[in-house]
This record gives sequence, C-alpha cells and structure tokens, in this order.
Amino acid sequence: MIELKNVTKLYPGARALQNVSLQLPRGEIVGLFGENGAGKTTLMKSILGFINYNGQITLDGEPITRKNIAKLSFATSEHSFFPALNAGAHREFYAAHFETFSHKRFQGLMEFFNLPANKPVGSFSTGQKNQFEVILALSQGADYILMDEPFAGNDVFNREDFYRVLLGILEPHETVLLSTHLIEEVSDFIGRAILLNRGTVVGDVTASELEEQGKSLMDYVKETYRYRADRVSRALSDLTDGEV
Amino acid sequence: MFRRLDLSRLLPPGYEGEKEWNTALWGVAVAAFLALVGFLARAGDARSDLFYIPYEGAERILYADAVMADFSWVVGGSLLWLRVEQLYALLLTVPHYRYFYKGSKSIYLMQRLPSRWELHKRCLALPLLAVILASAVALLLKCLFFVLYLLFTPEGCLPPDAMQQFWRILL
Repeated sequence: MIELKNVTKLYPGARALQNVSLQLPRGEIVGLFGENGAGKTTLMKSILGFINYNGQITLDGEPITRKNIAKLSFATSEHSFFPALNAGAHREFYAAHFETFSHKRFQGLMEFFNLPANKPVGSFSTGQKNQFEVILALSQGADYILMDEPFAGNDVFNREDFYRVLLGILEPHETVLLSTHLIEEVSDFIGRAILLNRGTVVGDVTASELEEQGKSLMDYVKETYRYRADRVSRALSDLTDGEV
Repeated sequence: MFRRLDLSRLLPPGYEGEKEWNTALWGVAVAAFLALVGFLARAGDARSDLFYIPYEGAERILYADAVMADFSWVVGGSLLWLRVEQLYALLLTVPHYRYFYKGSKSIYLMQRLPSRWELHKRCLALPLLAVILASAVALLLKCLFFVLYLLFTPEGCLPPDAMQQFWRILL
C-alpha cells in the first residue's frame, strides 16, 4: 500500500499540495482527477521522490528509497524514455535494472500497438510515444504503476483499446494510479476516483459507492466541484449583451 | 586500447560519445606533444646558458661554476595543456547531465532506478577516464622529462637537490 500522511508541497508563491492524506492499497485502479494545477503531477512526483515535500509517504510501510523504488513505475506525458534508443535497447536497459521486468508483457504490448522495434523512439508519432511510455511502465514489473496524463495525443479508439488491454493484463496485486482529464472515458475502468482541487483532496469515492448512490462519476465530479451548468449560457449572454 | 572500450555503458543511453572520446584522446596526445616540445625548448635554453663562446667562431666552453637550471624551471608550464585537457574533460559532464532533459525527461527514469549511481556513472565515467588518462600521461612525461634533464645536463652541473626537485614535481 502507498500511504500519504499530511503531504504538503510549497512552491514559491504557491501551495501545490496541502495536507494530502491518502491510502492506495494493492489491486486498485484509481483515477486521479483535477483541473490543471490541481496538484496531480506534484502528487505523483512526491510519491516518486522527484521533489521534496513535507509530510510522510510510505510504500508497504517503508519509506520510499532506492531499495524499494522498483515497486513503482511511472508513465508521463513528458515521457521518460531515451529518444535516441529503439524499443529493443529500452527493453535491455529495463531488464538490466529491474529484476521483475516482464519480457512477455513488453513483447505482447509492442505487438498489440504495432510499434516499430528498430526505429529510435524519438522518431515515433506522439501517440506512439505515449503508447511506448505506457508499455515500459506496465512491463517494468512494478506493483504500483503511476500514470500522469499518459494518453495526451492519442485518438479515442486507441485509448479505448488501451483501457481494455489494461484491464485484461493487470495482475490482482498491481495498482494503477491514473491521472487524466478524460473522466467519462475512464469511468468504466477505474474502481476509485480521487479528486484534487488546489492541492487538497476534495473527493474520494469508489465505484461501488457511486453505484449505491445511483450516480455517475461525472455527476460526482460536477457535484464535488460545484459545477454550474448555466455557466456557459451566462457567459455567452454577458459577452453578447443578452442576445443569446 | 581505449578505442576498443565499450563506451555505451559509460555514457548516457543513446548518447553519441564516440566523437567526444576521440577528441579527448587526440587532446591528450596533442597536449603531450606540446608539453614535450615546450620542455625540449626550455631544456635547450638551460643547457646553452651553461656555456660561453670566448670569441666568434670558437667552440663553446662550459663555465667553471656552471650549474644546470632547476628541474622545476625547465619543466615550467609545459604540462599546462594537459591541465587544459583535464578541464575540457570535466566540462563534458555538463552535456552528459543535460542529455537527460533533451527530447524527453529520461531523468525521471534515471532517478527511479534501483542503482543510485547509474546516473552519475553514465555522466562522469568518461570525463573521469579522460582526466585519469591525462594525469597518467603527465606522470609519465615528468619521468621522461627527468631522464632527458639528466641527459641534457653536462657532467658535474647537476644541482645538488635535483632528485628532491624531481620528487617534488612528480608528487
């Protein structure tokens, strides 16, 4: 389990995370939602130890160090692969550094997405780069897979396929923390949703709780963020002096 | 020998370091050559100063109380180019670290590798190897210079503390 206790991250002039406390048990697919600047990326980078923070983050009860960091993998829209290397060279690099690397899963996903094996990854299209980034994160053999906007630039069919593959290949002990804006798209695939707003957790709900309440994820999100349905018509009215 | 090293494990993954390494090797070779030329010129001057020519056309004669210039003076700044080479090698660490931010953020992957030193190994190994190579060449040159210094010095003109000077320069 990943556990965050009172995690606060301050940037000069801004508070990116404020007293965030969360538990991410094994075997869940968790959606992390929030507008730009809500703290989603900062939260993930804090877990991975890329940035300093106040508070406590543990992984299976232990602080996250080089000893247990291989239990975490990370796919980001910024991409963390080596652009000059091809897929095969990445496979070798990962296998050399992560004992649990799954060649089988890597090969299967490469074939599924039909990605070229011998071209430098930097020459891939944006969509292919995203797919490759996710393939690496899924093949590392990590127990906790953190994905930060991994599908930015992918077409909807590709994304749909990916969600299905994800559900199909994940082992029961694998946890996915998926940060995305595509709320409706992922609503059928996630088991829990965490909503961030200005660095604080404003919502945390499981799919079964939503089902019991008879709400969709989108309803819950709109409700939590106090979305005003008349916002657009009001704005248009103001802009056009009431002609709309 | 060094050209046959598998550089790929000592450089950032995918980094084109062959040219850089060859430049470093050539740099060491050129610096060693310049050091040798500089030393020979100063040693020649120092030896010439031990003699005088009584009249035009006469053979030169060794001063009665002639003492060869200090070894440290003869070595002078001849090894400076090897220092420059070492500085160049150290500066190579900058593009190595910057590489992990170019075209992607592969630094994220390096920062979460179980091996703490992998990032630094791939950024520092080759520059440090070049620095060590330049240092070894400098050491060998100092030894060679001292042998040449002894050969250049006429019999009986060696300064009494020549050996101490050598050790001082060597260390």
